[in-house]
Amino acid sequence: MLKGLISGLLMLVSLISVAQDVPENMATQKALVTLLQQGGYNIYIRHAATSTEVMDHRPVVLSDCKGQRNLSVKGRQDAAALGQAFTRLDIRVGQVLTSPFCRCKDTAQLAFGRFDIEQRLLFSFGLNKEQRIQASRYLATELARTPEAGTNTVLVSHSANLDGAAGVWPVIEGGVYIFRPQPEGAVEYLGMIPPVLWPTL
Amino acid sequence: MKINSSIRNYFLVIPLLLVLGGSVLWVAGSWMASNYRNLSHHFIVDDVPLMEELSGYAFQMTTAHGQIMVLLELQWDKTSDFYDRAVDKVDQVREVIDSLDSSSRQSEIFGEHDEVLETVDPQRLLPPLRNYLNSISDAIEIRILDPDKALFFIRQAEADHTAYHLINSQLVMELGQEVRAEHLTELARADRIATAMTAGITVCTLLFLITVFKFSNQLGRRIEILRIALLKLGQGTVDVDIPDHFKELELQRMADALRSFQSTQQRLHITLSELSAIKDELEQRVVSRTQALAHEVEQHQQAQAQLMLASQVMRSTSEAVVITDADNYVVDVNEAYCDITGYNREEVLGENPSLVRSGLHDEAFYQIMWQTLAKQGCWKGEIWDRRKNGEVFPKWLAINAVKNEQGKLTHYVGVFSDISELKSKEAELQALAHFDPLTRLPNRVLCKELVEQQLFNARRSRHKVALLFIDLDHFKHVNDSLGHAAGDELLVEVAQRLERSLLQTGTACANASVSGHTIARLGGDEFIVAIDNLKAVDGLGDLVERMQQAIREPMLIQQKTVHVDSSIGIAIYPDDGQSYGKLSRHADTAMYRAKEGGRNRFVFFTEEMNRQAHQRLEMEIELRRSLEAGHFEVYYQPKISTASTEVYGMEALVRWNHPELGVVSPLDFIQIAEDTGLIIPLGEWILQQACHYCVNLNRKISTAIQVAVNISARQFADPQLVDKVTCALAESGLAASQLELEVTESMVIGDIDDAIKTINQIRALGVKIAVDDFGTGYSSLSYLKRLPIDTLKIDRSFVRPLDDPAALDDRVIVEAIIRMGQQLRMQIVAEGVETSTQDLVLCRLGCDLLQGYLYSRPLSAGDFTEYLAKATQPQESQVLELD
Repeated sequence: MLKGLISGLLMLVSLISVAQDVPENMATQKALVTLLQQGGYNIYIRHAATSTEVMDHRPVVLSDCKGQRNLSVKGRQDAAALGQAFTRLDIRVGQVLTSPFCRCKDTAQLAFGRFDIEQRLLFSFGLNKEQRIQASRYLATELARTPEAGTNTVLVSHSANLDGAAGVWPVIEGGVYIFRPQPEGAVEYLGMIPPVLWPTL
Repeated sequence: MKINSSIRNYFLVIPLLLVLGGSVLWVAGSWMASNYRNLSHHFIVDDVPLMEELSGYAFQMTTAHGQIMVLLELQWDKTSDFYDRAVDKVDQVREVIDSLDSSSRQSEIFGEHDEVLETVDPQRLLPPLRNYLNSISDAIEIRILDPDKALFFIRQAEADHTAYHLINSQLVMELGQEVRAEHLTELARADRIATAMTAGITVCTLLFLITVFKFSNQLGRRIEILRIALLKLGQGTVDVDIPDHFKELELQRMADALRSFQSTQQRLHITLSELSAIKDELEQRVVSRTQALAHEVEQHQQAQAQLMLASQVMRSTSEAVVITDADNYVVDVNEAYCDITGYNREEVLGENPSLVRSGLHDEAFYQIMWQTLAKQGCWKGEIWDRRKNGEVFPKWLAINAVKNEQGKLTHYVGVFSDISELKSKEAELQALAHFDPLTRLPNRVLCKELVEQQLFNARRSRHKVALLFIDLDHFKHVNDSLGHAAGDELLVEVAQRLERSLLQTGTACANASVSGHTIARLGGDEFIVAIDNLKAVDGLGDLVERMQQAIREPMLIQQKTVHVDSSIGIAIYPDDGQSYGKLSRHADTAMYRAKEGGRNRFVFFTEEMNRQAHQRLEMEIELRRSLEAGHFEVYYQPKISTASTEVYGMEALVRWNHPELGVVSPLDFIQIAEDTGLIIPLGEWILQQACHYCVNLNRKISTAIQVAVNISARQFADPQLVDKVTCALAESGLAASQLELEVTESMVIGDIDDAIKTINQIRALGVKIAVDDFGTGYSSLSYLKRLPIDTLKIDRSFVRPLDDPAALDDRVIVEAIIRMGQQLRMQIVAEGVETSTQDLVLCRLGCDLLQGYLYSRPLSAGDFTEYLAKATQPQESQVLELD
C-alpha cells in the first residue's frame, strides 16, 4: 500500500513536470472531457474564485459563513457554469465530498446541487503539522480510490491540501484537477481544466 | 537542709536559663535558614526556569517571525515552495503556543507574611501569541491569493509580534522586581532576627547575674561565720574552731557547690563563645547569601539589558537615526546623527528636524516629501542638508511613519547616511570617463569639449585653429603580427611623441602655448590634434611634417624595431568649418584622401572633397525617392539561339529615368544601391516586373521565352531571397522553368556551402541558375564542379578580342570554356557580341546562346514586344541587319 503510494507519487512528479511543459490548449482539455465522460476519475476542485475583502476570522467557526473568505460574484458564476457544463457534456458525478468551509460548500452546491461534508478536507493551512499529514494521507488515499462504475468522484477543497497530497499546487481558484486511480493505491495526474474554458468545451 | 535545698534550686535555674537561651537561638537560626531555603527553592524552581522559558519563547518567536518576514519579501517561482516554507515557520509559532498551553509554570510574589501578593503568569502571553498566529496566517494566505494586499496583513503581524514582545518583556520585568522585593523582605527579616537574638542573650546574662548576686548575698549572710573560719584557715591556722552548727558535710557541699558553680561558669563561658561563633557564622551566611542574591539580581538586569539590545543597536549603528513625535519634534537621535550633523543630542531634542535644512531644496520638494509620507507611510530619497559648521552635504534618507495599534500616527523615524563620499567617488568616475585609459589622453567626449573651447576662444581673438585627424598606416599589421599588447605599447609611444612634438611648436606658430593645444585619442589608431592660436596656415605644413617624422622614428616594441607611418587630414577653422562636428568630419574626409593617395602623407581639406561626398549622399537620397516615385524601368535584351537563330530568352536590365538627371547609368548607381541596401527592394521590384512581363509575353506569342534576372551580392545573402522568388512566381503566374537568376562568381566564393544551399533551394523551385561574367573572377574549377548551375555566361572581355584573328589565346580560352560547359551539361551564353565575326566564331565553337548589340540593344517592354513580334515573323536576316 505504502509502496504503491510512493511509486504513484514518484510517477506523479514526473507526470507533472511533463504536464507543465505542455501548453494547456483546447485539444488537451477536450481529451480530458472525453475521459471524464467515461467515468472512473477523481476530480479535485479548488473552491471557485473568492473575494479577499473578508479574510477568514481565526479561529474559523465553520458554522459562521460571515467570518470566512467567501465566493466572489465571479466565483458563484464560475461554479454554476461548471455544473451546467458537466450536465451539458454528460459528465456523470457520483460522490461529492467537500471541505466544511463555506466557500467549498457553496462551490459544490452551486455546481452539483448536493454535497457531503468531509472534515478531513478542511483547509490544511490552519492545521498543525500532525493534522496536516493526516489530511494529506486521507486525500492521497481518496484520489487513488476507484469511483463507482460510470461515475466520477468530486472532491472540493483548498489549494494547500492538494499540494500536500499529490504535489500539485492548484494555482487557479475553481480549477478542475483530474486524477486516474492506478492499481496498488497509486494515482496518475492527467491535467487541469481552468474555469474560463468550460463554456467553450 | 532548707539552705541546701535553696542552693540547689538556684543552681537548677542557671542551666535552665542557658537551655532556654540556646533553644531560642537555635529556633531563630533554623527559622532563618528555612526561610532562606524556601526563598532559594522558590527562586531556583520557579523564577529561574520561568525566566528561561520566557527567553526561550522570545528567541523562538523572534527567529520564526524574522524568517517569515524574509519569506514574504522574496519573489517565488513556485507558490508551493513559499507555502511549504512559510507553513513550517507557522508551525514553530504553534509549538510556542502549545508548549505555553501545556505549561503550568508560574511564579508567585510573596508578601512579608508569606501571603501571595501577585502572580507572574506566562499564560498572559497566549492572547497576543494567538493574535500573532492569526495575523501571520492571514499575511501568508493573502500573499498567495493577492500579493498586492499583503502589506496590510504583514503590518498587522508586525504589530502583533511587537505586542507579544511587550508582554514578554513586562513579564520578565515583573519577575525581576519580584525577586528583588522578596530578597529585600528576607534581608529585613534576618536583620530583625539578629537583633532579637542579641537582645535575648543580653536578657539571659542579666538574669544570670541577678541570680548569682542573690545567691551570694544569701550565702554571704548565712556563712559569715564560716567565712571567718575560712579566713582563719586561710591564715594557716590549722586548728580552726568550727562552730557547732556548721557541719563538715555542709562545707563540703558548699565547696562542691562553689566548684560546681565555678565549673558551670567555665562551661557557660564556653557555651557563650560557641553561641557567639554560631551567631557570627549565621551573620556571615546572611552576608554571603545577600551577595549571591545581589549577583543573581544583576544577572537578571543583564537579561533585561539584552532585551534592550534593539534600542542599543539604534545607538550604535553607523547610520544616523532621528525619531520625532507626531508633531515632528525630535524626541531622540543616535550618536551617528550627532557625528554626521555636528549637533549634539541636547541641541536637537525638542527641535524640528528642519534645523539641518540646507536651503538647496524648494518648498515644493518638502511638500511632496510630506505628501508621500502621509499617503504611503514612508519616503526615501537623496536630500541635501547643512551640518552645524555650515557645510552642505548630501544624504540618503528614509523616513517611516510609525503608528500605534489604533492606527494613530505616533512617531516618525528617519534613517540616513552621509553619501558625500559616494558623491565625490561619482565625480571621480565621471572624470575617468573623459580620458582614454591607455594613453591618458582626452577621449572622444573630452576632445569635443576642449576643441569647442578652443574654437570659442579663436572666434573672439580672430585666430585660426588647425584640426588634424591622424590615422596610423598599417597599424593592424602590428597588432596582428606582434599582438595587442605590442599595439597598445605603440599607441602609448605615439601619444608621447605627439605631445613632445607639440611642445616644440612654440617656434613654429607665433604665440602658441602648449596648453592651448589639444591632443586626443578617438579610439583605435585615430588621434586628433587641434593646434591653437594659428595666425596663418603658412608653416603648418612644416609642423605636420615634423609630427609625422616623430611618429616615423623607429621604436623598440617588445625587443623589435617597429616603424609606423601616419596619414593626416587637416581642416582649418574658420575656413573649412565653424563647428567641431564639421571640422572633424572634414579632417576625416581629408585623411581618407591621404590614405587613397598612398598613405604616409598629409592632405588639407578642400571643398571639392566635400562636394564628392555630398554627391554620393545626394545620389542615395535620390535613389530612395525614385524607388518610391517609380522612376525605374526594366529593359530587356534578347538572347539568340545559335541553333534556331530565334529569340530564346532575354535578360532583364534596370534603367533609372531621373526626372532631372535624365537616364542614369547603372554603373553610377548600382554600387551605391548595393552599399546602402537599397538594392534589396529594387532587386525585388525588378524580379516582379520581369516575371509579370514574361507572363504577358507568353499570352501574346505562342512560344514561351526565358527571362534572366540579375541577383546582387546583397540580395543573394538575403535569407528571404527564396521566399521572394516564390512570391514573384506565384503572383505573376510565371512557370518557374522560364525564370533564370544570374549570380556572379564572387558572390558564391565567400561561403561556398551556404551558396550551394541557397542555389539548391532556388533550383528546387524549378528556377535555373546562371553564373554571370564567367572568367573575370577566380573561376575556380573545383568550385565550378561543386556548384549546381545550369548556365555559364562568358564575359564580354573574352568575346571582344575574337574579332582579331591573331588573338589565338582568347579564342582558345573561349573554346575551353565552351567545351568544359558542354561536358558539365551547362548551357553557354556569350555576352557583348557586337560584330558578325564574333557571331561567326562563337557559332562555330558551339556556343548555345548569343547576346549583344549585334542583335539588339536593351529595349523597353513595349519595344521588346514589338521586336519579338517582328522576329517571330520569318525575317531573321533583317533583324541581324538592324545594328
